[in-house]
Amino acid sequence: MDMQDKEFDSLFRSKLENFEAEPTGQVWLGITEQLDGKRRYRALLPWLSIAASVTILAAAGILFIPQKKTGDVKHSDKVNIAKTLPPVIKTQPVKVKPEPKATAETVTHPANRLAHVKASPVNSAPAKVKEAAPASAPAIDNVVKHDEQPVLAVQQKQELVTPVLPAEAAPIINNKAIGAIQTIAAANPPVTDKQEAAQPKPKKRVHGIGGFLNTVIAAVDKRKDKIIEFSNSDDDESSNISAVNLGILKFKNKDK
Amino acid sequence: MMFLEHKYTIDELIKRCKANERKAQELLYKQFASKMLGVCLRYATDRMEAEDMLQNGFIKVFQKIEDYRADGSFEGWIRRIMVHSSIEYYRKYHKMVQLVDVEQAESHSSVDALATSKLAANDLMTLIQQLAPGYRIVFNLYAIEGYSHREIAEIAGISEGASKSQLSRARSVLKEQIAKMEGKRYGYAG
Repeated sequence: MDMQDKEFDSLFRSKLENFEAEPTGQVWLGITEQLDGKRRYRALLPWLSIAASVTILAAAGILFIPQKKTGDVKHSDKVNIAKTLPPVIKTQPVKVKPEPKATAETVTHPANRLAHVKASPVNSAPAKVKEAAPASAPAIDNVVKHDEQPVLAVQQKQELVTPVLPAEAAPIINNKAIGAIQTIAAANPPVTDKQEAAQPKPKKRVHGIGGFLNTVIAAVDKRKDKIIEFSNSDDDESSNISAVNLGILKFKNKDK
Repeated sequence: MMFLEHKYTIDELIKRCKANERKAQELLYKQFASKMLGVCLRYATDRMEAEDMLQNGFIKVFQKIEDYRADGSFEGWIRRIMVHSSIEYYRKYHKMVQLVDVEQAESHSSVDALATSKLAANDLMTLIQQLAPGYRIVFNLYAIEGYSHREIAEIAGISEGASKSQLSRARSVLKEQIAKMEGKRYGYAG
């Protein structure tokens, strides 16, 4: 006897409509996990967005600000270092000569960007101290004491003089007053002339060097420290900082 | 006594569930889990699938309970969510390839109403679970949930004609299966 469709359907309905079965404990666990998970996620959202924005700002800062920052920091350090370590510079100029060629080219481009960086020479100061300090240490101490007030101009002259003079000359300088030093510098025309002549041209390069130093410092190794030494000579002339640095670099480059 | 206490608790539970109280959610779940698993089983191929559907359905219940207005039966509300959750499960995990227009199938197999009525609920459940998903969904929605073809078309995302033909095919397959079972029984008996 054939069933009507309605009859057939109602048979299924009557037997299955109230069908029950006990679920396993996994179902409730899964429900709580998902409810908690979504709550946690929602709670984390604001923090995640904050973290993301901070990361982006930091990345932007590293990309665009770093050069200026390194230059500024170094400047402050430079002032102290330059005053204390003027004599050391003697040895530096010689050492620097070999490397300047490579650096000068690269530096020139950054220099334009880093016009602000004038202070950059400071970076080189620490390196100078390390290398030069051991050799000239005794002489330097005396000189520094006398020179401290004299200002940078005097220091520059001294530096110029020192390279020319042999190691023995150093003691003499120490005893002499700043004025005496100046006279000595004048007495040694050949050395000073070269440097002075070089200075005017180098100015542009100095900025470049500063930039170069900054960039180098950011990613540099010990080798770069050597480069910094070049800049250290610049630091000694810190009053004219940028120009001096450039001049030294140029000198080196020209010499080579 | 039990009934009154029960009813009071449901309303109270709903309020507390709206406040996102975990203990109330658990009590509400325990109150309806078995019944709703019975619903999901009809839409599933096996018990594992049914429990997945049940889990998804209850998560929706707790997420949407704020929108529940006491204008209808709460059980009916939950049941509708379970049905939708079960169909959505198939949309997600199975392409409803079977939900296409099929020739209107005439049911050739004749089945004894008495024989069908002797089948246990478990047997009928097994028969439904063995249907292709498209047939199963339409048969459930029409024969057991009581939706019209128009409503089914909307819920399942198919045409009304497809709903009708799928229903017809589903019945036909079920009757064939019942006849087979009957034949086996008679075979063993004889």
